[in-house]
Amino acid sequence: MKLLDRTLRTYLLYSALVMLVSIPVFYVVIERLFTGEIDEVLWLRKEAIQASLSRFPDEKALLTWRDLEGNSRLQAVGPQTPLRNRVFDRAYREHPNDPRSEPEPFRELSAILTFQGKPYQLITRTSLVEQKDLLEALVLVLAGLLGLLLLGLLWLNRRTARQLWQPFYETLAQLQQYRIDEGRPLVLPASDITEFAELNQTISGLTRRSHQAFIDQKEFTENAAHEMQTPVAVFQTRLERLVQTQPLTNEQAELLGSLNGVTARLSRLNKSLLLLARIDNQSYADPEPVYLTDVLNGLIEQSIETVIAKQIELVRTGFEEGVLLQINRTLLDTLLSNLLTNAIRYTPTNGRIVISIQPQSVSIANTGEPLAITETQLFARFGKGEAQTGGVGLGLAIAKKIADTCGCSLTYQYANGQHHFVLWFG
Amino acid sequence: MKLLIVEDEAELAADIIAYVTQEGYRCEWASTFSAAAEKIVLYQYDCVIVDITLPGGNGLDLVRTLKKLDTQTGVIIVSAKDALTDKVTGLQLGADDYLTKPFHLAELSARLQSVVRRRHFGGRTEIQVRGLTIRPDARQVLVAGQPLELTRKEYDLLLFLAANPGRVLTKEAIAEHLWGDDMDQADSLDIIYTHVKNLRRKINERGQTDGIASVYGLGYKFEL
Repeated sequence: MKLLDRTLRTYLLYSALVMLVSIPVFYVVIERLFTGEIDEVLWLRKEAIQASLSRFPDEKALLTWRDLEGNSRLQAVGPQTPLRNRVFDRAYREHPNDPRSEPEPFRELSAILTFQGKPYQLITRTSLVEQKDLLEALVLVLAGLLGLLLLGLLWLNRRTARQLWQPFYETLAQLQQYRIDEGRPLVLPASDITEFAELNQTISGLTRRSHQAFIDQKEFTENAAHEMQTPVAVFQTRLERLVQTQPLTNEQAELLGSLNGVTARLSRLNKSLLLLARIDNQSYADPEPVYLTDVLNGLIEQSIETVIAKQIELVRTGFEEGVLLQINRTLLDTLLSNLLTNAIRYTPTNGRIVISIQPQSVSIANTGEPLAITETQLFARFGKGEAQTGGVGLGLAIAKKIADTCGCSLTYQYANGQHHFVLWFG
Repeated sequence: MKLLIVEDEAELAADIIAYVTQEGYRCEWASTFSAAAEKIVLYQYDCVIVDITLPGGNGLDLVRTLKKLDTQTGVIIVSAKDALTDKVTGLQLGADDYLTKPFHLAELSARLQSVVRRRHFGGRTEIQVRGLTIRPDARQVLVAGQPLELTRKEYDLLLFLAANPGRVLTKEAIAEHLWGDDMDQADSLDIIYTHVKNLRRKINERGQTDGIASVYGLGYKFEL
């Protein structure tokens, strides 16, 4: 839930509650007031009739009397006639003989008047229809006004809140786009609100420090790899000279042979680390037009002996389409070489490798057992599976890194007994 | 043939000097930028092996000076920085080759011979070994005047062996020479064995002894 919605929701709930409570209360109060007013009129009318009874000549004239609206009459007191004067609600049909007509509400006063010493019942009433209409209109207007007030408040509140939080959302958007490995510093908008100014200041400081730490880390990796190169070089050349000395016993030769292997491995590891650091440092920025087919054919030629030695069936599809990429050649070369080397390394003898070029991607698939590690581990540095085959564990990490750097994406999936590595061009 | 080794690491310089001296080169050594700058002005060298990162300056500046003074001198850059830009700059300045540390001495020796051949004999030299005539400019091998059909890798292997006669060439050095860094060690060793076997068979079929001996646990050796 968004911050703005959250505050608005509280407002909305409160306002709705006030409306829901206030409208019935208003209705009841106004109705009471109206009824009181009408009752008073009825009582006054009774007084007036009482006072004017003396103008009737006899009982007959009295009983046939109706007032102008026909709402007051006098009748003889029967055994059922209530003797107390009181006002009550009563409904009458407009046309008493038509059952389809709606009963209309009336306020009726029943009172006992004395005429020439005898009691008579006065029934006088007032229609409530107009009052009801008025009341309804009043309540409607009130509800309308309240609703308008509510909507206005919501709108105003939303608008001011949005303006108020604008710097926050800008900061958020900047942070979402911020990438620590890009050299661009975070530019946060200035704000005259203390909290936002402090927030932006803190975030700027934080990202600056993180970026610096990241740079230091990168430089350290590169420097460390660099510094290691010379000792490794000395070690390797010394070893090479040692190999030339005579005579060597078989035991010595075996030991030196294994040292050679280890040194070569160390040297490759070192070069891979340097390469990774260098890709990180954007040392290979310049893209150039490169024919994918050329690069792949060159790489296949480099490795064809291993392919033949392992009796791997190598299938090329889509090679007749000369896909032209705008990419740094060295990086593409390294990326595809790593994928191909990887495929050859993990394909069992008599296995199959399928390289297919599509307009938007190139895929290298090889037969083999499913992985014991996850895709994330597969592309992680030194994330080797169980099989130990002499790789240093950086090939796929480098491939992934290059893909990311060049705006491509590298995906892996296992299907139909084949490992599929697909490079999607930006 | 006179060489100048410009390298601040004394041990590495000593190894290079020891190795190439046996090939018949006379070597001088400069360990700093200023010493090297002085030497290249004062003396004439057939080839200069120069490190890029030197105390007191950048090796690329030495290459610049050298090329201004004398275009005949061959230059091989040896660097710990195998940044592509350095390599491109170095070659553009007129350097003949570029090697990244760590490297095999056998590799350096082969590259050195190739540079000397190109620089001083216009590439038109033949290498005569054990009845074989190798023509590097044409990538051709002749036995008794008749061409010997070799695959590319077999030819590269033979040339590499011939460039380091009497030396033990480790399997690792051969693998790196033939395939560069990308090759899998485990796979390449078997393939080297196959190539050596085929090369020997082809030479032997023409009535020559091949002189290629395997060295227990280490690699191969080419006897003159």
